[in-house]
Amino acid sequence: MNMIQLKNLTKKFAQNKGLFDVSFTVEPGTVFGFIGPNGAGKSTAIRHLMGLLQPDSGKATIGGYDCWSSSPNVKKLVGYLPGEISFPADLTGDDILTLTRRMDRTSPERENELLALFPLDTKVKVRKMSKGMKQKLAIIRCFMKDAPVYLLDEPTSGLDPLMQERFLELVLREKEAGKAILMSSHHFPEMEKTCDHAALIRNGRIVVSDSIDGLIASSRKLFHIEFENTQSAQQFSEAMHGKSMGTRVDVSVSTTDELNTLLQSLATYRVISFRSAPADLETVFIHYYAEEESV
Amino acid sequence: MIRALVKDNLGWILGYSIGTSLYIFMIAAIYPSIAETGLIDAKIDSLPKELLDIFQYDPATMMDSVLNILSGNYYGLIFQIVALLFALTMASRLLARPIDSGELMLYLSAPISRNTYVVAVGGILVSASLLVAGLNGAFLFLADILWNLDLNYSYVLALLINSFTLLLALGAIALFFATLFNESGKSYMLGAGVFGFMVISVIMSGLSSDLEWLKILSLFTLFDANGILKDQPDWIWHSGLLVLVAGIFFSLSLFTFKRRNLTL
Repeated sequence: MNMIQLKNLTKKFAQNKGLFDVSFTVEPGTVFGFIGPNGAGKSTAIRHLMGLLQPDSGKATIGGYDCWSSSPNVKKLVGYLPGEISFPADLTGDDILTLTRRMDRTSPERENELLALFPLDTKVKVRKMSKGMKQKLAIIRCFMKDAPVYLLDEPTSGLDPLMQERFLELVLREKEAGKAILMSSHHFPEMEKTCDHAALIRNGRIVVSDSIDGLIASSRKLFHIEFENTQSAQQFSEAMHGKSMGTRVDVSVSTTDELNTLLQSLATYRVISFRSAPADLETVFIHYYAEEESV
Repeated sequence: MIRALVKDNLGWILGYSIGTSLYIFMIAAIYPSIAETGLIDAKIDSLPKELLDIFQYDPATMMDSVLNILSGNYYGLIFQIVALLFALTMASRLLARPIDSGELMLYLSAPISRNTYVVAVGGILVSASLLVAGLNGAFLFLADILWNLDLNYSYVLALLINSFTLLLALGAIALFFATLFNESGKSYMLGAGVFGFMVISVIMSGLSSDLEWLKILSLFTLFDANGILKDQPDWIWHSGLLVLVAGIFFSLSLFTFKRRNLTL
């Protein structure tokens, strides 16, 4: 069963911005990573799921409910962590948690457990809170609701490394409990640790979408090769379109043919060392960010 | 939700209620000495009629009771300005600013509809308007006990009901404007522009009989403190009409806000 679904969703804003024919699904017990440069459309997609935006065409559903027309039913199923945390400045952490407890009918046990995981002085007014404190408060608020679906928009932004680690453990625990989780982030290692599937969105369109293993397996492989002298390194780098730094050359290949060409070419040189860089999600996606910057 | 909204907005609501009530209390406190000396009567008699019209002073019923002073002093131009600022503040704090800053998500991420939120805001508007009118009345009552002002309470009640309905109508209009935009500045400008135009229309209509028709363009015409003190029964249908305006604009707010794309 698809718990979260975007089906051919299009929403056009001014200056060709928006989402264009975006589709993906998230099943219970999985984490879906939503990756993309700033302004690519990640938050817009999440806003559709929260019933804040009406699609021009296509639809967004959660638990089978249409996110625009059945928004209250959808929100019963969703714990939401917005990308920009904004709470009324004069309320305290306690006020906000009390409000959530009453409006979402959450259990005090779960709240206490989360407060132990993300320690926070709840007596402080929001206006006096740091970015990290507000983020922790928003995380507690989001997960207080024992919801079958979580929508997390850049959830670890502002958290210190210990809290980031605790957050990832929490996400994995919720995944094991069968929750469907959509998480947008720029932080590749945390996506790699938690996500089962990932999609990259750019200029409002999904560019790549696959399982994490599939994405890594199909990614370009990076090799670090150390030559005996700089002349050889430079010559090889030019022939293979690599990047030379002194006697070292970094070359990436994406097909078997390219790999064989690399090995054949290498056979004519005296090589000191040959290492392959570990394939990770960053290698898969980072060049899309680079292309975005160069546009 | 109502409790959190009240806590977050109590400051400005009390500011308007207590501020206006203290002003009324102060006028009531100095009334006995004004009545004794008669100096202000003479001073006001010397002012041009147009200026008195702007502040809605009626020279015929000038200084013979504290309510007459208040009708020209507080329930004239001053109350119009207070009422429009009250309406703009209410719409800005409860809807326009939370939309703009994203604070609204605190409420809208819960399983409630947008209409539920607007109805809660409507509840705050009614309570805040009641508090302003009610506290104004309570301070007048207190002043009467302290200084034996010999108040006519049927007039007081009419003034309070009519002022309450004016606050309600202006608040509902400002709320409707707040549902039209994602940026609070735009709805504030629109509200300020429309209400400012209404105030100017009333002022201009008093300056010349040729411009008297401008009155019909302003909701402030439906709050006539001098008319109430002259025993004219118009305030009853004026109040009814203001409630109707409030109802229409509140319904429009529900309609537009439900359909808005929100970029929270």
